Amino acid sequence: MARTEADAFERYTHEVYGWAYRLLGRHHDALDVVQDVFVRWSEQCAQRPPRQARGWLRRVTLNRAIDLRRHRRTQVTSGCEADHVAAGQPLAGQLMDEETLRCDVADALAGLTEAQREVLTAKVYDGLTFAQIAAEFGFSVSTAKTHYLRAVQAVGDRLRPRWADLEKQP
Amino acid sequence: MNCEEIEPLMADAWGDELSPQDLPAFEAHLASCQRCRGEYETGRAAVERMRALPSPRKVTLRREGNRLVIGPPPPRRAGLSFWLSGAAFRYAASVLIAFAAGYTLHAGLMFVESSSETAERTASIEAAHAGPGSVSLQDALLRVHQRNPGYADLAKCIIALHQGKR
Repeated sequence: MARTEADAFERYTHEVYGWAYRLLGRHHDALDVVQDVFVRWSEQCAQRPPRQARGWLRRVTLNRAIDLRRHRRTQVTSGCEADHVAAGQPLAGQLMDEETLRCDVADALAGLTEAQREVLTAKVYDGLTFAQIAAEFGFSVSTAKTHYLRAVQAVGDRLRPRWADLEKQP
Repeated sequence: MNCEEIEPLMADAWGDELSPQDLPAFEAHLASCQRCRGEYETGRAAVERMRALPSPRKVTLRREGNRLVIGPPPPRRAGLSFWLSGAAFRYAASVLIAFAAGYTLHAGLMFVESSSETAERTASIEAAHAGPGSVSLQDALLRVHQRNPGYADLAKCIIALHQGKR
């Protein structure tokens, strides 16, 4: 591994892991994604290093996590339960709610465009300001706001009926 | 403000970046427009639910030979927060008190020791100046002891001299 690749690995591992974990909810799945993303990063650097390492890593991580979630959908709940049992955390209703929420969010993110998905993740999970997002992605602040607006509207519209159903349940 | 003008502010509001200047007009419009209020609440709920997903555990990198391994972070050393905490101050204070007590005890012993030496030397000088037959060393020591009753070592010295005389 070249020096720049190793630097990126050391610098962004936790963030890549975090983006993956939010969507997958399983430590080992998130580690799989980290490994896969950095293999791709290494390949990409060999061809043409991305100008924005963090943005590139976020995009690839989200795409990879969504793909993995689709493939492992049936296994995720049981694996997530096992992680929580090991960590001594409560199970049952709370865990099911959490897993349902994770599925809903992942599905909603999968339905967005790449730019919307990245801006939404950068804003909600990384806590960046619109100015920081604009600088990182290389577009204007108003464009960042528009992507965020459309992303939140899409997620809300997609999830509102489902949450309404859940709230009706006793 | 109409609904079209409110839309750009919706992103600011959902992103917690709505400026104080825009806030009154934004709130006033939401209060009067049910559609915008519903849209705002739906978006707000979406963002809050996304944020509600538990954050991942902290992972760090460590080197194993020429490999980089991802794993849980190593146990933390005592950082600045520990030293600024009450427990650290109590710990430091107890160490300081122990040092002070030890130093005081040591200094006291040294003082007693040096005092007895000084007293003995004074007694010898007094005996020498008194001349032969006038006063013995033990009498001189006794006088010094009477002047300085705190010299316990001197008393022991006098007793030892008496015993030696016998």
